[in-house]
Parts: sequence; C-alpha cells; structure tokens
Amino acid sequence: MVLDSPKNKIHKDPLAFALDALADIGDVDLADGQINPASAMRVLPHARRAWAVLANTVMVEAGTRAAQSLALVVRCLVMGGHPVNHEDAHNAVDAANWLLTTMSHSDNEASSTLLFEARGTAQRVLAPSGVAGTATLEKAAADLLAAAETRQQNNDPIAIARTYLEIAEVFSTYAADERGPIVERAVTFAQQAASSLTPSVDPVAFARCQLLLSGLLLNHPEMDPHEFAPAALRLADEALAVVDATATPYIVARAMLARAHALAITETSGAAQATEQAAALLDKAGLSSEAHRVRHNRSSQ
Amino acid sequence: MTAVHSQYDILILGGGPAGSTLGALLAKDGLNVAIVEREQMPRPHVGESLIPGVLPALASSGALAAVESAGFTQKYGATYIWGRTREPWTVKFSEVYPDQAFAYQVDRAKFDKILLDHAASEGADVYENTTALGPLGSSDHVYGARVRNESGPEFEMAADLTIDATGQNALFGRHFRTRQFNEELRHVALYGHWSGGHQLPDIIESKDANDAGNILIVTVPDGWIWHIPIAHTMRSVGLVTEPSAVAELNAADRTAYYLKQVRACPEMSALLGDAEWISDSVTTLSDWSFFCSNFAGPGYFLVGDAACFIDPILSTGVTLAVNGAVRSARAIRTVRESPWLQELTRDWYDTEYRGIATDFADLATHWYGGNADAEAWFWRAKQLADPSRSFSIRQAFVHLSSGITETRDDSGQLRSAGGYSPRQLELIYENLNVDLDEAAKADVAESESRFAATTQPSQSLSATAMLDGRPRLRSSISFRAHLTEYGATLRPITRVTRIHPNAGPQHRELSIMAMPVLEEIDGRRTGLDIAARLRHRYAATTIEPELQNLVTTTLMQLTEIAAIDIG
Repeated sequence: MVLDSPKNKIHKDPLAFALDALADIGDVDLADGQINPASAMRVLPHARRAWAVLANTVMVEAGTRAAQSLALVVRCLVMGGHPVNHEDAHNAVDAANWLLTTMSHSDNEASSTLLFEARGTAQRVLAPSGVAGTATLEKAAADLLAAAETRQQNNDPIAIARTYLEIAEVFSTYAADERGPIVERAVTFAQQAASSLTPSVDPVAFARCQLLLSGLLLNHPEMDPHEFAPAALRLADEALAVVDATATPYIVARAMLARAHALAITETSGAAQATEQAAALLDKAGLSSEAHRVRHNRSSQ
Repeated sequence: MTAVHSQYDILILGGGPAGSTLGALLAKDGLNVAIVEREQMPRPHVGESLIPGVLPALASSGALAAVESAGFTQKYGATYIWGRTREPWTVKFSEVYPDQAFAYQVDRAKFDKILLDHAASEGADVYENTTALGPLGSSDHVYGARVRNESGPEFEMAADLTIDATGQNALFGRHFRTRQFNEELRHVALYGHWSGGHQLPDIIESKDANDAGNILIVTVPDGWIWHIPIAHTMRSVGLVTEPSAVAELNAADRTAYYLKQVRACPEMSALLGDAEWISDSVTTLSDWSFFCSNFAGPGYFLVGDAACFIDPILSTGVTLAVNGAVRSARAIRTVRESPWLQELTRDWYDTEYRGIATDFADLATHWYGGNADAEAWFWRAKQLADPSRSFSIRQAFVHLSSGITETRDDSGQLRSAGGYSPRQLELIYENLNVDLDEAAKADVAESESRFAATTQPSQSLSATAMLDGRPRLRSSISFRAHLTEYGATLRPITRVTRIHPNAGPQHRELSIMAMPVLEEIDGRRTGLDIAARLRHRYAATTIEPELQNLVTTTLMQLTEIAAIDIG
C-alpha cells in the first residue's frame, strides 16, 4: 500500500487539501487528450485527491481542472493499455458527467468528444461481467459511437481508429442472447482499428487489437476454438513482438495470458509457463492482486 | 523466530463467519489474502440461529448459494415465552420483510466450513491449525501477526492490513487492553444437543407448520433457555444464567444442573418429550458482553466478536460478524485506494459498526430489564428503529430482530445489507413528548421534517439574504468531516447532525467543502464576512474568485435543512 501524506489533511482543511492536489497535478496539458502515460500515472493520484473534494462543486474553475484531469487521465491510461481500478473508473464517469452537464453548448466540440471517450472507456472498465454489465456497456457504446461520429466528421483516421478499438472492446464483452452478431461487430471494429493502428503508428494499440481479435477467435459462439487456436496464438505472438514489458507490463501480461489460453485449448505444453510469466509481469506492474488471481485460477483448474 | 517471506495485502486472524466473509470479499477483489484459523474445520461451535440480516452479506461474499443448498432448517421467526405471562408469542420476519421471510438454523461446524471453503475458493490462502499469538507492532502501527502452527515454531506473517477476527478471544482487544465489559449483560451459557422430541407448533398450538423452524426462547427461574431445531431431529438447547449459579460447580454438576433446569421448564419438557440427550457433557460459554474502545487503528481492523460481543438473546452474533465484514471490506478498499482518508475511514468504520452493535446491545439490555412484557420490547425497538420507515411498534421489533437494515450497494441503490442507520428516536411523535406543548411539537415536527428533506436550495432563499444575514448554528446542530458510501468504497462529506433533546441524532450529508464555511459561522459574521475571511485564507489561489458562491450555496443548504438561522 502506498502511503502519502499531503501537507493538509482533508478533514482539517478540505479546500487547502484540494488546492495542494491541484498544485501537484501541475500544468500538464489536457487540451488534446494526448497525455504521456508516465504523466498520466503521475497525475492520477493527485486528480483523485482533488476530485474527492471538488466533486460536483459550485466552484467551477477548480472543479473543471480536477474533473478534466481525472477523466482525461483515466481515458489516457485505458486507451494506452494500462490498468485502471474500479473506483478511478467510477470517479472518471462522474467527472465526465459533471463536465458534460456543466459545459455550455459553446464549449468546443473537441472537448466533448474527449469527454465522451473518457466516459465511455471508464464505463467499460466499470461494467460488471455478464448480463449485469449490459446496461453499462450500452452506455459506453453510445458514448464511444457518438465520439466516433465526430471523429469521422473531422477526418482524423488515427483518432477514429483509436475510438473504434474502444468500441470493439465494449462489444467484445457485451453479453447478448445472440452473441454472434455482436462478436462480428467487435471483430469488424477491431480489424478497422488495426488497419490504421500499425506497429509503427501505435504499437500498444496494435497489440491491443491483436489481443482482442485473438480472444474473439477463441470465444466466437459459432467457431470451434480448437480450429482457431493456432490463429489466436499467432495474434498473441504478434502482439508480444511489438510491446515492451518495461513500458507496458499489463499489455504484455495480457498477451501472455492470451498465449496461455490458446496453448491450453490445443493442449500444447507451455500454457502453464505462459500463465506464470503473465503473473510475474502483473507482479512487476504492481498488480500483485491480479497476479494472485491468475495463479489461483490456474491452480484451481 | 522464523520470518515468513510472503507479504500479504491482508492478514485475517480467525476463520469464523467474520474472517471468512471478509476474506472472500477481498479475495474477490483480487487482493492477496491470508486467513489464519486456530482449528481444523469443521469444528464444534455453539448454535446457531441466524436472522435474515445475515443473508445479504453472504450474497455479497458469494457464499449464499452454498449455504442455501446445505439443507439447513429454515427459520421463519422466533417464539417467546417471556414477560408477564406464560403465553407464547411469535414474531415472523415476513411481517416486515416478505421477500426475506426466513433465515436458517445452522450447525456452525458445517456452516463455518462452508464459509471458509468459499473464501479459499475465491483465492484466499487458508492456514488451519494455526494460532494467532499477537500483533506485530503496536497499537500505533500494526504490520502483521505472530503465529504458530501445530508442529512448527512461532513465526511472523507480515501484511499491509491485519484483521482481528478471533471471536471472543479478542486477540487485539486483550493485547491492547481495550475491552470494556458490560456488567448488565454478564451471563454464562450451558448448552448441549438433543435428538428427537416434538415439533414446536404442536406445543404452542400453532397452525403454521413453518413455526417448526422457529427458535424458542423461554424464561426459567434461573435465566432463559433456547431451543434451536438445527436439523429434523437434532436440537441445540442452551441455558443462559448468571455466572454465580454455576461458578462453584464442576463439569458433572453443571451438566446435572443444566438437565434439571431444562426438564423443570414445562414448555421445554413438553417440546423435548422423550428426546435423547446426546452430548457427553454440557459445554459452558462465557456470555459477557463487551465492546473494544477502538474498532480500528493504524494497520488493523477488528471484526465480529473480536470487536464487540453481545448477549445472544437476539441471535445477532453472526449478523454482526458478516455485516461487520462487509463494512470492513469497504473501509479496507478505501484506505488502500485513498490513503489520505485513513483517519476518516477508521472513524467511519467505528461509528457505523458500533452504531449497529449498540442498538442490539441496547435492546438486549432492555430485554433483561425485568417486569417487561412484549409491548415494552416492541416500544424499545421502535425507539431504536429508523423513524422514516414508519413502523408500528411490533414491526419495529421484527425489523430489529431480523437484523435487516439498509445500506447502499455498489450501484448506489438502497438494499438490505446490514448496518443500522443512527438511532433516531421518534417517540416525540408517539407518547413520550409530554413535556412539550402543542406549539413546541409543531415547531419540532416542522424543523425535523425540513432537516430530513432535500438539500436543494429553495427558490425563496435569495443569495443576497444569505450574504447580508448573520447565520447562526442552531444549538442542536453539530458537524464534522465524515464519509459516505460511494461505489464499493467511501467518499468524504460533511455530516451535519441534529441532536434533539428527546430523541437521538439525525444526520444530513453536505459536500465536504461545506466544512470551511461551517467553521466560520459564529452568529456575528455575515455571509459576506465569511466569504471575505475565506478569500483571505485562500488568497491568490484558483478558488478565491468562487468562494462567495461556495458561501452562498452552503448557507442556502444549511437554511433549507434548518441547521442555521439567518439573523
């Protein structure tokens, strides 16, 4: 557990506590949403602290800074292939909601698009698995499809592709009675995203596309996973080839898990080793809880 | 001493219902959890008669399905022979909660094993036959525990947070000397098991077959006796009495004393009929109620009987344990994700959990008050129940004795999940406000109604009036920084509390940003003065230009809930 000791205690002087947090956020540029992941990770705890006080505040300027920081940093982390916890996602949804409600119609469209993406990606993280997550995923899809529409009007193919990838992620986890069509839509969006997000443009996004497609191949309701396991394995390996375990351990861990999944289906040796490698990477990423879960799932199989 | 190298996120001492439920909840979150249990499950344990307040907590932990499919006796209510007459009276949970009409009578050996196995299935590392010896560190900072297993030497287990769920052993309470015993609730229980006998409906002449699963509680000259139909032919029968009654007796004499008391009770004798006493000897338990002075400290939380033990008269032990686990899970998630909320979180946990337990202890104390009848207990329960529910006095008793109360789930929806709202006595609306005249009653009613209403400022409250006037806190109002449930964790708020001379506290939540404004209210300063003082305090910061807006809004909210008068 990371302990930090802000200069001012929240229960002694909440406004000074929030001001400290805003100062710690610093002058990171949020305007275009292109935040360096390292900056995003630095900013996140401070944005969380600021929003804890300034949530739904009547102090619009300070609240806007806190809300934007939180919502856009969470968006950046999710889209950059970094893990975001449930509470940060929850707060990001609230922050984006507040901003979208508070912003006047004259506020620029680009800002709205970023906030739709922020809210959509955070809602996807928030959604419970299975049928319970249906409504949340539908909201996520609505936000992301609206953002994609705006992106299309602005004719920015890379930005469109990034949004498509998030839409594909949403559809891939949507639990519908008839899963086939929704999985097909997820595949389509992921393939369209992958066509623009090449390894040279955005290796992490490319890897996410490949991992998404790998998972969809093995979980497609109308496909035999045994038949498609080799292809899924190849996609996982393609992802592994372009990402760096130091910069994005979470994505590499996911790739190792995708690899293990494919290997387990074909009963090829190496699945256990890949799982352990994934767990080790999760540990390295500071996700010891996730690593514990992965190891536990393996041992209980 | 050998140090264990594995560093756990959470180390839980005790694998009973509190420890197992908390372990399952946190392991489900993906935390690295260890549970240390002194015994090898299954192991014998007294009782147990559950109440419906247990069920939502088990649903949260994911253990409910296994409990439901274990074949335990369904318990639809409780039957009492207690009070001024020997006339049996029965309360049914369905009177208030038709959707949670029954709980279970459980064999604790089997029940506890189900919960512990479930925690393990969720990913918790379970160490049975391992005894917790004491905390590592001090009450200022606990970082694990010393433990010893059956054969090995003493060793250390380190963790970010250590949970004392050791039951009545109250490891941390004893170690830190924080247990405070309740002399009014000091009893011993002697119990054992019987096989055979009759069904309760036959004895109390009930036409409701579901009454067969009820717990029966009967007064006897030396105390009271419980009868719990654990299974079709298996019954737990216990005698609760004064410690002095058995202090001088050896084991054999205690058994003889117990059997004599049970057989001498006409209703119990009729119910047991030719049932066979199947225990080797009676088991004796201390039922001395206590509360630890702190339920949490830096690096640790106390859950279940380790935090407080309450007389079993209302069958609330497991309910407190599992609902304490749900609350401690929320608190633990909060301190892990927002370390700056640690102090407030410990305070929140203590306040919430102590509030539930105090209500149960209060009703138990009243129960033993003597010379009371059912009506008197119903009245006391109504005093303790949430007045917004508009219960009849009988419904209030069923509500409290079911252990069900309201909290918010992860989506913010109200649901039944344990945790009483603070005491809100509404006797002023009943019969006990005899010292108030009609005008005073009307004033109090209007004021309380507004206090409980929405915090949205009304149109009639102008910003100018707020800034020109001199706000003064009403004498019954206090405030402090506190927390409220938010998703699976907690978020900071300002809690404004009304203390009524004839009733308990009533709370309203405002933004945490209301704190600085409230601190500046002294009855002499105007709203503008307060804004000026805050502008001075936060000069040259982002928020300076908007402080007047904060003052106006906060004063409007405080006026709307009748927390201040504007002079």
